[in-house]
Amino acid sequence: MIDINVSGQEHVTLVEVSGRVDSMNASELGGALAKAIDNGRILLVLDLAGVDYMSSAGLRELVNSLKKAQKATGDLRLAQPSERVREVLEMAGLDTIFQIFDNPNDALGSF
Amino acid sequence: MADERWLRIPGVLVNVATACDFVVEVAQNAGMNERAIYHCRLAVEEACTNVIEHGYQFNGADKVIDVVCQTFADEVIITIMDDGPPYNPLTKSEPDPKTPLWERNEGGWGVAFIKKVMDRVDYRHEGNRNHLILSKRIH
Repeated sequence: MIDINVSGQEHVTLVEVSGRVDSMNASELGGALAKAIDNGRILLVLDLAGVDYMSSAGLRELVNSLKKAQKATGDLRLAQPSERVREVLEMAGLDTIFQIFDNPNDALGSF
Repeated sequence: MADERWLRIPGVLVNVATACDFVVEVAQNAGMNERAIYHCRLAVEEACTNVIEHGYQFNGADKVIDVVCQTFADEVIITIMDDGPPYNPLTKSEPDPKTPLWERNEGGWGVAFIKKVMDRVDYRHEGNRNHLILSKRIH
């Protein structure tokens, strides 16, 4: 089970997700990010503070969403991944592909 | 003597959480730390998802995945068995973490994660079933 909250912060969109992002629900996260980008919200911050678990299915959605955002000349930046989620990002080499911030305000302010 | 527990789930995605919760409980009871427990959950999710996607082609409602956990003094051995076509995932080439964003394919990380987070991973085809054997030290 995951909860996803999308809120507009002037020109940047904050997407807060909580729960376990796994093969059963990762497409919900991908769908929420795709919908925002399709609506022109191409500058996105994904706040992962509430995510206590993520598998490769979640990473796949993050990579697809980053590609989609960058293709639209936007970007998807990450905030507050837990130590465990950061480990998974690192295993896939995504810590060097995504801009990752320790708090969401820094991520929002980076655009 | 190992303490042994079995779980059988239907081969559909919605049941993977049951297998993960089962293994997490075994890992907790064995005394693993939070990181090791996370690794066990991750490996079992990736393994079961691969079976459902590739072995059963998302058509596994009448098929099963068996998960057997054996707890020894120093390690937990998790064996995942399925009835898909014979397939050794350990022979699959691993994706490169240095791959640039635009050259990245859809997936391929599941097996790489399993190999990275478990201490030992073996495969055998026996009794017309695939057996993926995952070992994790307790301490």
